[in-house]
Amino acid sequence: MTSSPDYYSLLGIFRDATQDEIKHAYFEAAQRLHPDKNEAPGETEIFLDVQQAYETLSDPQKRAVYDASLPPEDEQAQLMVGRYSFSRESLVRTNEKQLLYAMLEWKPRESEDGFNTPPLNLCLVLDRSTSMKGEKMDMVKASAIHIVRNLRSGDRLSVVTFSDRADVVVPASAVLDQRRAETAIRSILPSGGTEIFQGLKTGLAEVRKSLAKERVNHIILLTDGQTYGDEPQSLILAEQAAALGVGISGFGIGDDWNDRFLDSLTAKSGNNSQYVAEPQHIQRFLERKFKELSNVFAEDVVLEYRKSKNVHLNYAFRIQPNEAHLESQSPIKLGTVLRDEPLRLLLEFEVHAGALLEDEATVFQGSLKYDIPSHSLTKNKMRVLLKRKITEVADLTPPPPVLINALISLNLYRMQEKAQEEVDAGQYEHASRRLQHLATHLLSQGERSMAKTVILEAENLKRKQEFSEEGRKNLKYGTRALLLSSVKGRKS
Amino acid sequence: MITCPTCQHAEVEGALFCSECGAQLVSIQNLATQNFNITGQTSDFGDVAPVRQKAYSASDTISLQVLEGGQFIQLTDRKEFTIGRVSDGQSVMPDVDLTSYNAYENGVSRLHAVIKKGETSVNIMDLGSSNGTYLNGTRLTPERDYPLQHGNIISFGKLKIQFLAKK
Repeated sequence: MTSSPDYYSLLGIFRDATQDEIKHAYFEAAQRLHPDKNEAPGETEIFLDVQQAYETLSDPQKRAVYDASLPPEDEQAQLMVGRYSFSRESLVRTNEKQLLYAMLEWKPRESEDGFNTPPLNLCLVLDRSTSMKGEKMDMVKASAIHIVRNLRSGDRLSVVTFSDRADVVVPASAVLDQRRAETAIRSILPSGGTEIFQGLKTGLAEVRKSLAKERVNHIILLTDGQTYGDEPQSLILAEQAAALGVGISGFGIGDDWNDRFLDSLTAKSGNNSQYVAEPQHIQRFLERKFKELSNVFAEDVVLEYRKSKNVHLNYAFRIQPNEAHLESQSPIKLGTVLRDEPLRLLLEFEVHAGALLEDEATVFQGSLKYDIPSHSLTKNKMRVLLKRKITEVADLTPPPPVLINALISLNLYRMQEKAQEEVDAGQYEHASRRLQHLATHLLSQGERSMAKTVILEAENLKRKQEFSEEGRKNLKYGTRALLLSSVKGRKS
Repeated sequence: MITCPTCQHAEVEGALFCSECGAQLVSIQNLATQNFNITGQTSDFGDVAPVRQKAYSASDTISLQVLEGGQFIQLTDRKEFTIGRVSDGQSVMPDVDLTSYNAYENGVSRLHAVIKKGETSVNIMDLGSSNGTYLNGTRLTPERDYPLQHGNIISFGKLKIQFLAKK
């Protein structure tokens, strides 16, 4: 990176930013960097630079002079590269609406290998309610100890347990006494109810002790039960955590936890919930998460876009690194980009005739914002512009196989989602028929065991007018996992 | 507008799957067929996964699945399978008899079509049936070979059957 970034990148805006955008970016930066709020070294200097940037850019005359002095805009300066592929090379001129699918991928630029892996500031928030007793608790303890042993120097770890109240088992500290931590984890005793809010609150307090932008600040929540009455509080807390730069991911063990709650809780910071069907899988899931967090390149990745009346973003799904159905309203929280895996999204656009008046249509106009923990002082932003040519006849050039495969899997996931919606609406007939179809497709994909689950659930619906919790979760997380394996080319 | 070949649900231009029954629409099946040839293509990302569906090889087992009832019909021990329905006083019997799947009501001819297993592909030929053979909704010209791909929907008259090929 150059020693003095230009005013535009300092404010995190593009060179063609409007006065409104400049003003907005300035206020945002000023709040973030105000000397009253920050004592991190270097931030006051940046605050002064931001002041100067605003003074220059907000004055059209000064701005013109400044622009003339700038070297040409260099996309190479971006720390990430993007690649976009489409279901169709071009849109077809028609009076009806049409669908277009796109896969968006971002990954670190090759030359960024030299970046340091940011240290972790991690808190494990562990359910120790009565229902955890036995194998579940034992596996959780073993996995937590495994993490303690695999910390790198510079990593911070704290462990919090909760039932109807929360306890700090291992407090966050600069130097972790490994033996004492292990003993403390071993002596966790399950008893009591499940109050997730208590656990999260105490966990966040621990993370805040070592909160730093150069670290990956994260809470891992492990639970096996429903939390009662404190969902709204927990969601507010997750939002506050996200604003502080603390991510939350969730693992549900067994069949009795509330996956929708855990989904919305983790989505606040662009993370996801995962289903651990059997206690013996806890360690594998946790280890994978830990590895992932140790491998973060960019975080707080957000996709913003300008709303258009002619093109509507119908559906957004993140395939990698964590599968999740995303909100399709701007700004879309995308979580992290890892060093060794791209961030991949699938988008479905509905294009209306109004967009087809010229030779080319703008499908998506927005930007990707991200933070690099090892370069925590500057906001990064890259343009994301998706355009398609318009032709008179439909172009049937084959889309890339990776896109097709992902869409085949997404289709299965969405069928399951629709069946769920139909059950919620009381349309059991419909839902059951949809599941029958889904079973056929799963079979033709060679997913026999999942197809079997689907057939069982279709029967359940007919007879009892409800899903079994186990089957429903298997289905949701199973079809979700197909998406990841569709791009990675392996079955998980 | 596109019509789903499986359930006749209307879908908008550019849709790749039926939003009702989830079937792949005609447009994507042709695409998927051609995709096998370009799997070697890489890009600066270099990590593009190979397509999950593999090209057919002679060792694959092939079968048919009746869409309405879900029953499987294995096609084994031969190279060619004639498909039709058995009726009284018939001199040539089909290898695969569809009578039990309401073949008559669905307009399946006595000798309707033939599926031929080759070294590198499986082909289907309509044998001049009265109500025609359709591949993913397109009517086949009689007495001509058409290659089949895993997942294709074949209609004998109105009887819909999915073609499956497995390693």
